[in-house]
Amino acid sequence: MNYDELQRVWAEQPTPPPPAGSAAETVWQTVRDKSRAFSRTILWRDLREVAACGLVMFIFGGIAAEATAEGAPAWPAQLAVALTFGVAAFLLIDRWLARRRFVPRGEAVLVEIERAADAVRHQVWLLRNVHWWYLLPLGGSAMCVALQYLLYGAPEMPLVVRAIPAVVMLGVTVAVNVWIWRLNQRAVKRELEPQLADLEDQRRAWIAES
Amino acid sequence: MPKSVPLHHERFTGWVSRHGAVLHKLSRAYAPDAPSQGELHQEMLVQLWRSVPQFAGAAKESTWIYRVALNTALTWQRGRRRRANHEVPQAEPGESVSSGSPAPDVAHARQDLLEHVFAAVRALPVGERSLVVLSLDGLSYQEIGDITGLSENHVGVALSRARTKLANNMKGIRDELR
Repeated sequence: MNYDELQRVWAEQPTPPPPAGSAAETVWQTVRDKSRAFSRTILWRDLREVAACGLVMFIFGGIAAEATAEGAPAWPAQLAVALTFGVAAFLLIDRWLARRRFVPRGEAVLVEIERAADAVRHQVWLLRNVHWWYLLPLGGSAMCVALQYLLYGAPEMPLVVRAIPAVVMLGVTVAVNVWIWRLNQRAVKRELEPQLADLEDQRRAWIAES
Repeated sequence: MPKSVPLHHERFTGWVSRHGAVLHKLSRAYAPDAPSQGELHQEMLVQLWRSVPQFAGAAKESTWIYRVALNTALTWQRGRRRRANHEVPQAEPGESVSSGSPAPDVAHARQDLLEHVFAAVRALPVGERSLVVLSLDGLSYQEIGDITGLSENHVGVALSRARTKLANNMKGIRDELR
């Protein structure tokens, strides 16, 4: 058998006809549902993260408002709100940019592999630097609130007593941040680096095979 | 329902009715068994549906569909490999290109031959597999280049090597492929 004959066999292979009638409607409905489910998953993930930041901003904003109403300086709590807002804004912008990567754009295979590798590289960068854009600002905002209470809260209490919540908050913040940082670094090592290596291998293989 | 949805649906169903066979062939070339072929085929449909608004007509309709389907197959395969804990990349489980017993009639013989062809195609490295499938579909070097992002020269050299490997994979089953 030569290649032309093989091509003929290939061309004549039976393939199922496109679905028609109610079967087609079922298939298209499934496709639409899966597509919507994917979009919903992405949307809810983003909303959850932004809602968490929103809640923290609301609480810290309340503390700032309370301090202002009492005539006390509120700059630490206001700074806490600003830092949390910064994290939420960074998340939103990054997700908005990343969402475009999820849409199939009919690119050539090599371009698509490179785009996928770029997306993973970006994810690696995000997780490796999670302390700069997430942990430090959020930890910093928690410490700002602690500072608010320490410097300007309940002046009738001795400073040592007011320092206790600040110290507890510092301890909890450090512990949680270390835990989150380790989780992220583990995700980079166990999931993202193998994914990136796979994509880079695939890209090299495409070119080398050629 | 937004006004554009019927257009979206119309274009999508048009694509599937004109190029549905491509999706089936690519599913068979990348997934080793019927359930995973069904899963991959459906994933291709979903990605094709999601790609409709992006289609601006800069690429030929068939090129676009091949690209989306092939990219989906490669992504699916990477995910499958990860799920299977670093499964050996170029050999699907349970895959064999050894010859089977002769089929009793012509239809079975053809089916049998096709099974061997697909097994031989699936045993090729990923890139060469794609080139062979596109070539078997009768696409020109230029069209294959448009789909893969390789130059025509690249396609020609790689395809020649891939055909030799395909022939080796099919040795002992059929006459040598030239």
